[in-house]
Amino acid sequence: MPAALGVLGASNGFLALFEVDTVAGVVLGGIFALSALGIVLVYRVTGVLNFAHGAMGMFSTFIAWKVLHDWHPGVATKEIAFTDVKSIAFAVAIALVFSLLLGLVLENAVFRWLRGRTQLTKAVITVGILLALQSTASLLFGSTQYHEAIQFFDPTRCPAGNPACVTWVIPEVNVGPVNLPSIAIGWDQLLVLFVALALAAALAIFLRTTRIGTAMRAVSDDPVAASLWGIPVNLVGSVSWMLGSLVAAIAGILLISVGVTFDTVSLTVLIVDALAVALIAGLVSLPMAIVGGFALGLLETYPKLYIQNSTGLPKFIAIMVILAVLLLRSEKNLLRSKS
Amino acid sequence: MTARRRQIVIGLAALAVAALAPLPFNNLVIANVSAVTVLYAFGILSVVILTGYVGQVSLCQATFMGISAFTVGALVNSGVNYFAAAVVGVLAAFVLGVLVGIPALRLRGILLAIVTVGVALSFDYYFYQDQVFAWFNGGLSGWHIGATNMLGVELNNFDPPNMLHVYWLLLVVFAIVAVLIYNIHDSGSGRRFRAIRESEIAAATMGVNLTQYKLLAFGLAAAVAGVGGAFFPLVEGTVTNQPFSFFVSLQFAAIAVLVGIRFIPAAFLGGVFMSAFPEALKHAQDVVHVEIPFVWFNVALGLLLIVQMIQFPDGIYGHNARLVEHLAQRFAKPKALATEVQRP
Repeated sequence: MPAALGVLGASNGFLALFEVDTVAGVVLGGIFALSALGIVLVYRVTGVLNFAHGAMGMFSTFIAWKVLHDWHPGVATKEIAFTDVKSIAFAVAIALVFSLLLGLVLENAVFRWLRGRTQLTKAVITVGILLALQSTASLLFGSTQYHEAIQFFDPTRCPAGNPACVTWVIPEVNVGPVNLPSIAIGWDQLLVLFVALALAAALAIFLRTTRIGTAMRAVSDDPVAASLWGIPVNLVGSVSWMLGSLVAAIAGILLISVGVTFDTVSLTVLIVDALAVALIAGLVSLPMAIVGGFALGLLETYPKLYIQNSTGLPKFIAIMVILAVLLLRSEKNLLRSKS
Repeated sequence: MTARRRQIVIGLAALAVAALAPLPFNNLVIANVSAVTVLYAFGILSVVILTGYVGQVSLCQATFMGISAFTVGALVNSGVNYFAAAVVGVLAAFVLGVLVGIPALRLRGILLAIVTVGVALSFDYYFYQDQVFAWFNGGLSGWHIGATNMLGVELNNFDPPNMLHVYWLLLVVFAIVAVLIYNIHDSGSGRRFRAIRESEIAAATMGVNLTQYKLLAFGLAAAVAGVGGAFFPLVEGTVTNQPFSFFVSLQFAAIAVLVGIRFIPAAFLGGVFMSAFPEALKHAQDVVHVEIPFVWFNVALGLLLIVQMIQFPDGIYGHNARLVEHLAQRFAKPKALATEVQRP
């Protein structure tokens, strides 16, 4: 659970709920944006629309969970491992290394052999990967809905059991006649936002300034011409898949750290929200993926002000956004010229 | 024998084998698995029509099955005759299919696939699960369906002979639908469908009404899936969201591609694969006394799909059918070849 998702103080009106949902929506949006970044990156460079993106992130996240659950490195029992910073850092590192390997294997064992096939063929293959990963995960890690969440900031360690030490409390503000109630934002929520924005910026800088980043942009523009110029297309493909998989893993780990249902299915079906955001970004633009992520996160969260306990409504909103984007954008903008 | 007559004989023989196959066992599980096989075959057949014939990708065929099944569940529970409800269910699937087809008028390939993923997930999580739609999805426990009868024959899912009746009924319906779809392939509509598959622009230039035929294809495919869905409550006794989830849609698409997306017989083989493989796993478990979870099926499916897409783009059925054809040509008399036109 988030360290302290709630309103401190007495005023518990609509505005207070609105503030809480805004924060939750922005955080969710950050995660959507991260997932979409991975999809956009892989699509731009390799031309594969990865339906298994959510499943890949899910699998890597479960690797971290498994390390903490079975091994609980550095601490005596698994109960404290999920809140111990050193154990978590170790487990997350292993998960991230695993995600890099997963990306590497996928490119070299599967997608390298599909060059020149249609986009659709490649997309269907990712469906196969999705099924295989999701099933393997439920075999290895259990298909129940309950798995311990990873907590980067443990409220029980705060002095005197006061969870306020892992939250950032914004005092109440009076804007004219409107009284904005005080709100507590968890550090874990801030962490998600920070990582999402930092990763997006890092990716943009990586693509613009490094040699391999430039090579990736060249391949995304024209793979044949790029290979004629001596750009190692296979290496570039491997790097994009590894980065995509890494971003998916980071998104998954952050997602469960802010208390979303942690099972093999929930993280896999995150793909629809990520695809909606990727479409908002026209499947190519990294900055628009961030903006679109926040927009969709808020859109999916605000209905909670009026409708409680609806698991399906967010997915329905996502498809509505997908349809709206597809209606408003022309197909030419969305599909690259090569098939 | 002409090719046509040979196909009829092979088809009837296959039907007879399929009808008699569960008889020697005389047990409820086998009868049930057989009936479920046909239900899945309907789902995969709908992928064959939509993707194999018309080239439109859909990852939401289980959703079409679901809307039909839930419609039947809701209607039967409010006192409507089962078969009348089934007709309404198939119509509901047809309408939903046409609605999903509307975005397809502007979209192709992966963009369409994204839309259908969204449709599958929003139906799976919202309309088939949410309490707001309890009047449609039957609330938390779904719908329960008892026995029914057709022309005095008892149909239910709790004793073996009656379950077999359901199976035979399904088999006959499947055979009829399959023959209809088979005939569509070479009809005017079928040629327009295939023209759309090969190139939408070329098809439109030749005067094919893209709007009409794309919507027709979606409606038709959804209706075929809906026929399977309409009989689902009869076979399983309950209707919940689980059998129509996003993952089942993905399985339909994956199995259709794996077995051979352009071939009707492949749809039935796919159904056998989808229902018999997990059952066989269960029995293997009893023999070797090691627990083999059912999910291995999906793992195998995903891996097989990857290998197949790289090595055999025509699918298992298509690949072997071609091999058989090559062999037949090698051993056939040359003049026989000249008179026969092979249908795919």
